[in-house]
Amino acid sequence: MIYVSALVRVMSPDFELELPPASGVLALRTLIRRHPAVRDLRRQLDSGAISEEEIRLAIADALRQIVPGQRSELELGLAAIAVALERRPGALADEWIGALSHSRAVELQRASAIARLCRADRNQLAVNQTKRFRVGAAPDELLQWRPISAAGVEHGNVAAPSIVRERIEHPYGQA
Amino acid sequence: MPPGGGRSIVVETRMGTRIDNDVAPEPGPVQLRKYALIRSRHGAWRQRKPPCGGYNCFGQVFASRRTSIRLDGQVALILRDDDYRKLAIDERTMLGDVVLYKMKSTGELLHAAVVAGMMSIVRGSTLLPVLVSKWDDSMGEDEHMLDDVPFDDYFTEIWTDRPRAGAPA
Repeated sequence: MIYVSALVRVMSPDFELELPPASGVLALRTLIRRHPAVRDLRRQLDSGAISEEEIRLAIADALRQIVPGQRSELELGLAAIAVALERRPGALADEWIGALSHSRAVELQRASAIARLCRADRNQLAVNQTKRFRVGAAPDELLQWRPISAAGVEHGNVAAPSIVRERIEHPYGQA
Repeated sequence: MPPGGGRSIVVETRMGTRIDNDVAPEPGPVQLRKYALIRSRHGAWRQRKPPCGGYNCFGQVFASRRTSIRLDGQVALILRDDDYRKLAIDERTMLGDVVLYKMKSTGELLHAAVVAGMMSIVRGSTLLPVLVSKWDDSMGEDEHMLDDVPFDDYFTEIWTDRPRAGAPA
């Protein structure tokens, strides 16, 4: 059996032929996500069989082939990369999903719409990383809180018996 | 901003809600090949219109073939604002009703088609709807039967803007 990289399969015009037509981009993204080549691409990215550098080169190559005003032959392949990267940490995912979702290129309309969905879900993923910590004693910086009573009398610093502090941890290690 | 980033036109529901849309470019060689491949698997389809860009199925049904509507939420807004309702199980399908195809596993919208005719397979048997579909923003329009479609994982809902029989006008 000849081994063909998932990236080569996705970045081929034949990839679009293998997908059923779908006018709704939510359904189209689901169909892309379920395509065996996209599943393989995710696995190969996770295992390191495909490097992010190879993905960058494939994207750059596909973008170079775009003819202004015409649909890209690799449009759904470019969308599939966004789908494969959607839940993956790292700069490449942020860069590609961000760039594609903000693209106004007529040549990439469907890919751009799919990337918007990926970006929205990726942002949701970050919010889902919220963790709650119960802190027994209030750190100094939290004691700057100066509540005003209904009568307008300032009470000064008040130490609550316990403070629930929320910290949103960015999944990619950014601030 | 239109969902696909291309040129959009003004599309509003009856209540004045703006609908995101984009006018799709003409099909390229890949899309033409795909349409031909799909048609070759559905010998009973009758082509109404050769492949073209501009609009997809939701644009065909809800925007007079002018543009492509891509988001499920936008279709839901149209159905709500334009007083569509799901056909009850005891009601007959009629010309002009809208069939929505949704993914069985996720409920996401795959496709929409308009009922353009009724026919019986065997003389005297139940009348079945004949639909007109534009499969996506690059394919042509075809007449087909309800389940003669290029999807596997789907269910259908029939929607109408007709008032329920017996309901006050």
